[in-house]
Amino acid sequence: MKNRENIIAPIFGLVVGILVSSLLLIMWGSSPLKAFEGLYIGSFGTLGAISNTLIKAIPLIIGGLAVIISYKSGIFNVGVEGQLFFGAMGGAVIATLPMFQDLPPFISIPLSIVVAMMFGAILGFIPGYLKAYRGINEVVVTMLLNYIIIFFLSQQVQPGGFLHEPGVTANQSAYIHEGMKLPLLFSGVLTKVHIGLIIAIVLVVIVWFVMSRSSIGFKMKAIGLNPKAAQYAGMNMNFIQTNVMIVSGAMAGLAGAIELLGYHYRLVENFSLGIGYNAIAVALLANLSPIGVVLSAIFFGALQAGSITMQIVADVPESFTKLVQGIVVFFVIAGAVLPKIINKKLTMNRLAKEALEANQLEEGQEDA
Amino acid sequence: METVLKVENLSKIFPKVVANDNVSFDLKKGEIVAILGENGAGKSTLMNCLYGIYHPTKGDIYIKGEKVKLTKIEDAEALGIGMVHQHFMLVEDLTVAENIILGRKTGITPYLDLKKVEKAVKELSDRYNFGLNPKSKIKDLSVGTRQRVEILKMLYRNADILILDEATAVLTPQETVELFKTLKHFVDEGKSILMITHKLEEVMELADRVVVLIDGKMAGSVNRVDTNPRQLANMMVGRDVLMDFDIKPVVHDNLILQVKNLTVKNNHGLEKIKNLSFEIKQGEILGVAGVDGNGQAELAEALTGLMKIDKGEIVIGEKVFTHLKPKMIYEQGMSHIPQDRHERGLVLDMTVNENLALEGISHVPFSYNGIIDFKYIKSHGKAMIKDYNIKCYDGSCPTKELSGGNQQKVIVAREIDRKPNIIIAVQPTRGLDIGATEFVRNKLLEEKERGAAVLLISTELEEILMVSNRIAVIHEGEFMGVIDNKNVDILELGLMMTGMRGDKDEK
Repeated sequence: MKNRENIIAPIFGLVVGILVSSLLLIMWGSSPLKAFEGLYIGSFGTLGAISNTLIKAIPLIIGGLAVIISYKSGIFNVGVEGQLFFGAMGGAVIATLPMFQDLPPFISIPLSIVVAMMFGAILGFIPGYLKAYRGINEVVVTMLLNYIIIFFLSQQVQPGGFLHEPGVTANQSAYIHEGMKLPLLFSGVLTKVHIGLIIAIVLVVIVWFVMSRSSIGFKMKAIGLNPKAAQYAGMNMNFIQTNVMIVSGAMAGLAGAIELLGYHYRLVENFSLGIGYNAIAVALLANLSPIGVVLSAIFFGALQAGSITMQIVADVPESFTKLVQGIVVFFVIAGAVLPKIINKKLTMNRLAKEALEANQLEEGQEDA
Repeated sequence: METVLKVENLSKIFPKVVANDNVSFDLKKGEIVAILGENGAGKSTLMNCLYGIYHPTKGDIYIKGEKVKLTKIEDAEALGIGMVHQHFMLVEDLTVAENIILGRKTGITPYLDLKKVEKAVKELSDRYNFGLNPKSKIKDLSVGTRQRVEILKMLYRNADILILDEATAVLTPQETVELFKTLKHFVDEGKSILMITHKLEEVMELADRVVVLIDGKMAGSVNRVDTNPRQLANMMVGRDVLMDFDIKPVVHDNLILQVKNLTVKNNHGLEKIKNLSFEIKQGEILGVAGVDGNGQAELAEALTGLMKIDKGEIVIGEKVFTHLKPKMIYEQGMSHIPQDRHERGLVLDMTVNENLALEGISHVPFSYNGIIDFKYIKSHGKAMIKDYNIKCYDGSCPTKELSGGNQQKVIVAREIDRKPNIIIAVQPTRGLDIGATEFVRNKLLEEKERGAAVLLISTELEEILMVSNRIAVIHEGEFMGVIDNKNVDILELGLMMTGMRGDKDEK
């Protein structure tokens, strides 16, 4: 029953979101039918479209998982964005700097990914340590680190930066070395779906297993739900939270490497802006379920992939497609969260009523 | 003399508790009335009803002869009632004058005329010898001075009925003397004062009349000149007959838990436990009685590794510890029934089964190599639910959906079922109904019979008397005395709870 609610609520939100954006589209003078038809064609209409949707979904799945493990452990990693960027920079050290160009791909690809994960882990460790041992709010720290890292990357791909492509005026890194593109899954039409999808799915299974089957996952959940009781029960909260942030950052770094090696092939300023923040929405929409993240990441991926076709078909500006995206996401998430709030309220009311009845009963006994 | 405040048959009923039951009293002009009672006797609820924070379920309040309905604090203040809370309501970064005007207007205009306020504050302060500078910031002031700011705030708002909630709780003896002088000055001017307290000396020194509350009911109202501390203690505890329980004597000699010269400081560096020493034998229950807030929580948290031990050592069996962590407690076979079951004891959003596995989750048989054995957790939960008579439809029921008594049973089941050597139980029956209370007390007695050393910390004297072999009375972090639970003079215990040292300290 609970599961049914988890699925019905987002669908309800989706419908409301579509209705509200339809209203806006009508006011704009466009046909909502055409717009959403364009969105559909661009995201699921052809094999190529599906490929686009999946490619957009891959980093969102991994980023969403990074958010989930932190959120569940009572430490909210808003820094997936920065960790992803930093990870991509780490990956680019191996993938774009000339000194590593002679490494065979079967070494350089894993090495690049591992370095990316280490970079992400370092960036996750900082807020994790500060929160657990110094009591500094992790949301503020991760948020501010995001800005620092995004600008740091911008600076390093400009002329003079250590990742800048020599002899070029554009702000970009070199193209990744020969043979370092992530292997593709299919030949033919779905040309662009790479092995990152498999990595993401494997990660989903691992996170699901850890969260629901291992004692570590149990402790993470207990700490997230009631830190005081968890400490009282002997759980080493500070240590666990710090490590969760390290792992979360490493995951974000992995997503950065996959973006670099599987999709962009070089770093540019703001090369994958917004994935880290969208990952938060993906995780919340999935109700923090590792399995649900796959669906919600595909939903987000589809909105992005379909937006260009929507622009062309419905003749709306790009900002409008972003607006529609925002509205749909807003209502879907509101739809996912609202029933929980209502449920909680109902439970509270019921408990209060029971308490009152029990009290009256007791009084009655005393009188008797 | 004119009656300024009259309370008639006031009752306040919360879900689960009757906080005030048919309370009636009056306060005359220029009089100090003390409201005396143990913790949970309903003193604060009564005051909050008078201050418009709570609304009485039944009964009437008359102020200066007129029946009033107080629906919010502003109503009470408009009628001249002012309250000084135990925990000050001051903004540390603002000045005295700013705090006094906080939430009020200085005139009709929306602009703040701070000069005017500062002048008025200065005048008031001079009149009562408060020595306050309206421009000093609260954070630079001592606790006693902060309290004067609170009082001045009420005077500024023209209060002539002052309610003081445990006003001396945070003061040094010197500051207390100063406060009492000020209060006497007030009544000479024709103001009236209601003071909430559980300290007998204060009542005897200051009050004209005393209203004693017990379990929310009026135990009596006496003139100070007609009473004495013994009688008041008697009224406060609620009985003058000694209760005789069949407590089986301790048969073992080996010490299971020894605490030596324990000192614990809180976050602010205040010593909450001062050089405390005691020991508990196998199969013995040591009850720690006392008024809430005298170091009980700190004692329990230090023993269970939740608070840092500043000085001293704890000997469990033969192992000596100078610092403890909750995990070590578990490994040493020590159990802890915490004071606040929602805050510490349970993860309410987890299921009953999960809460029963909370401490053991990293250990066999709950998990093997980090992988949870759900089958075991389920069967273990099922057995616990049956053995401890926990009422829920299934072990997969979220713990928050259980009643308070059943939630406590979950904790008791988890803590006791692993057959601990030592049990630290803090207020284990607070808020429970009669059946659940009985259940928990019986379990503690059973555990003692089995051979566990039990430290029972409770503010309910009755509970302590019912199960303890020995009784210690804690006051401001020190034991006022440790006595055998045989033919105990309850009045003496009551006096010890208010800070008078016991003469027959058997140690």
